Amino acid sequence: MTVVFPLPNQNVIVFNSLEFIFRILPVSVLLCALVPGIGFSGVLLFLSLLLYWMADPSFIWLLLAVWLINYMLAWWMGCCRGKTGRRLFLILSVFCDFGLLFGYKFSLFPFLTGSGAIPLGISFYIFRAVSYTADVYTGKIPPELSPFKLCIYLYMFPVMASGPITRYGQISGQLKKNMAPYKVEEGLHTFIVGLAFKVLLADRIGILWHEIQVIGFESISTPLAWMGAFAYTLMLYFDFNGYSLMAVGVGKMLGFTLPENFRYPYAARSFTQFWRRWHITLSSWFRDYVYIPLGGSRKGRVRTCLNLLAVWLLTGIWHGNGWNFLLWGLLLWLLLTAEKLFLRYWLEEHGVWSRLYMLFLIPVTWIVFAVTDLKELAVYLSRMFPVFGPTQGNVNGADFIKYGKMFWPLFLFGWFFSRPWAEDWYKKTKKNPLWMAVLLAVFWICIYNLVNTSGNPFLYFSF
Amino acid sequence: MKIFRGCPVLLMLLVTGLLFSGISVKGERGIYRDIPASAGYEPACAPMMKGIHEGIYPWSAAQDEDPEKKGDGLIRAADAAVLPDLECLNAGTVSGSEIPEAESLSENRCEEDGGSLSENTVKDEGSLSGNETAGTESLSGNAVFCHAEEDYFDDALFIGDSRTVGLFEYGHIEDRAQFYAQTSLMIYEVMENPKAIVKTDDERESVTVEEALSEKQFGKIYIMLGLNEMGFGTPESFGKAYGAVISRIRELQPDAVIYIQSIMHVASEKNETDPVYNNANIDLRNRPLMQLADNQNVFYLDINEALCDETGCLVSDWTFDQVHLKAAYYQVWKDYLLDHAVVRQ
Repeated sequence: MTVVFPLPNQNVIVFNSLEFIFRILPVSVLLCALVPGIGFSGVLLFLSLLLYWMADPSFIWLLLAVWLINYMLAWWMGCCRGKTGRRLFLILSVFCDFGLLFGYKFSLFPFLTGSGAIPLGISFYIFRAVSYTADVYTGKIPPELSPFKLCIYLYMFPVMASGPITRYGQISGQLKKNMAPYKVEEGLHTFIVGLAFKVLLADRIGILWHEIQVIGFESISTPLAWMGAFAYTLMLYFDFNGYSLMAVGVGKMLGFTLPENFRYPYAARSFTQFWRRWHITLSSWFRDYVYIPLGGSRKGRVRTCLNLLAVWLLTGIWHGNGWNFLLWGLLLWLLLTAEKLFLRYWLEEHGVWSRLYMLFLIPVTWIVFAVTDLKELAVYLSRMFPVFGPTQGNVNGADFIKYGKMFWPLFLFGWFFSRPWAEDWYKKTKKNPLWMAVLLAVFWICIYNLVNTSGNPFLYFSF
Repeated sequence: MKIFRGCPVLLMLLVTGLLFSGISVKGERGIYRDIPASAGYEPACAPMMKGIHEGIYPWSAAQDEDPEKKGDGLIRAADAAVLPDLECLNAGTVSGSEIPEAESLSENRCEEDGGSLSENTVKDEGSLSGNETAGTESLSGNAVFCHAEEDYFDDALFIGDSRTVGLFEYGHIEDRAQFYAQTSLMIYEVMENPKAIVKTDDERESVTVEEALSEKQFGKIYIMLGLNEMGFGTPESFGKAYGAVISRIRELQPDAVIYIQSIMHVASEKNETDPVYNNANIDLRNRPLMQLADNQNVFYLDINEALCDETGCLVSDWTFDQVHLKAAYYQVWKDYLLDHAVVRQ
């Protein structure tokens, strides 16, 4: 009997694909559960590399390169007595890691990539690798002597495609078999919540954003432009948070405790707070490995502002190679600097104003993030703020009524679930068997949706 | 079993999963036999999920045991629409000699490869529309295309899918014309689908097109359907179903001018990547539509003339999703219709 995998198939690592839910996940959990203690890591590593290979076989060598470079350099760094030598190894590893990352992100190696494709999850495993060597350099952790443990840390499949960006210190203690039935159950709960966020909220609210692009930005009314910005805001949150929750859930099922990535960012009352709650593992990475090494806020106001600028330009570049991402980083830098210098105190004192401030500025920053074409971005912003330009397109002034009628329940659900109410309620009444029934029903509703849309919400086969 | 005591959701998931898979497997040759499998992977419980989506519930098994009655509603509807009107279609609009011609054309089309195909397509269409114009002149001396003003749409009815919904929303003729348009509307169900919107004089109502056409006489009826149907049937069966609808409309609206609009092409990216919804397949289905035109009461309008670039694809800048026009470009479509108005003398 031969097993034929359709190659390459990105669905194998997409948590909300039927392939992952019904094949990869149960098989992995079962395999890891059946293999006795000592073989667990081997099975996990094998499965993770197999999934990378199934998703995109052309970049396996890159995984091996990043792993070996960081393993060797950190090891040598550990052997060095002098500070200069350690620094040299750090610089060398950072240079190699970021060289690869930039090279692929900006297609600097056409001879290697050919198609110009970006290797799966590269932004994430490079960041994990750099944090590892940097932590070895600062002495936070000793260099890992077992190459396999490091490899699992870099490539374990729950955090493969979109994080969370773990640190070696968080994982190193967990790299032994620690599975239990109750953990599988807990992980399943988290996974179902994440799946529902992605399939029932993000994908559906995303339809409005898609519709607005179909109409063309020049032809949307101002209320619809705002509705679209809110739709994108909610879509991005439930998409990414849903994905992160699924990752945490899968990790839990395998016995790992992965860091949380979102802590109700839309309940924040300033951008400073917001960025401590949004994509936490990325913002804390930039804090620990860019902002603080540059001096943080200890070297005076001007230097603080410049350090923040460096962080936000890099954050912008990390998210994509369009000018709009730089613009987005700059915009956030402006807001955060303003908050740091004077706005913060005012926002802390004025509850209502701080909420309004976030309510209107968050969608604006996300629109700058979302629209990669600068001309189109200008058009969209001029539709949100019609004072900046006359209407160029063919606007149906009643468009927002149609979409409002279609999407208001989703906005309501989105608003409700972007606040901690449901989770608080769940934590208080965890024992209630009704929750089990709810989770079960939600799971099958998600599957129903996935089966009937082939996993692609825009792919209706109907026009 | 002890280990499952702490895992109620996991246990229930396993039980329900087995149950749903069992229902699906049991119904595979029964209630779910007409449910198509997806191209990619899908779990064993997928037929049941798809069945619910189509309105076939696990418990509808007992009452639908009669094999004649059950099955895919769409294909049934198509057959039903085709069969009774087949004779009148043959007698009325399509002459026997034209059918083999259409078939040979489509065979040629299939053999040709991408590059030459689009050229040929354009050429074929050119020659055919040439014929059509000639036909117009010879067949009906009293009808020619000419330019009309917007009030031409005052007694018009538009029937179509989401693209016509777009024309309704962005054509600025919603106060003049009436629309029977709904996303994913198909020719197979167009007469009886009660969900579709007809915008009557001042309110939106959900009535069937059959009712709408029985209640009021229209001067012009514009139809554009066919893209959603591409997953179903063949160009021939599609043409027959379309012909049956045209015949029925003619019965209900003997004085109306009926415009069959060509199925609008898709933009180049989709044309090159989509195995089903591409322009070669669209042209295969436009061909039988051309033949439904008698150029006396029923006219064929090739709107792709106005909306496509030199390669025959929908102009890329005019669309985001490769299928629908952006709002700003519905004017082009409307202008084309106004430039191709039949005025009866």
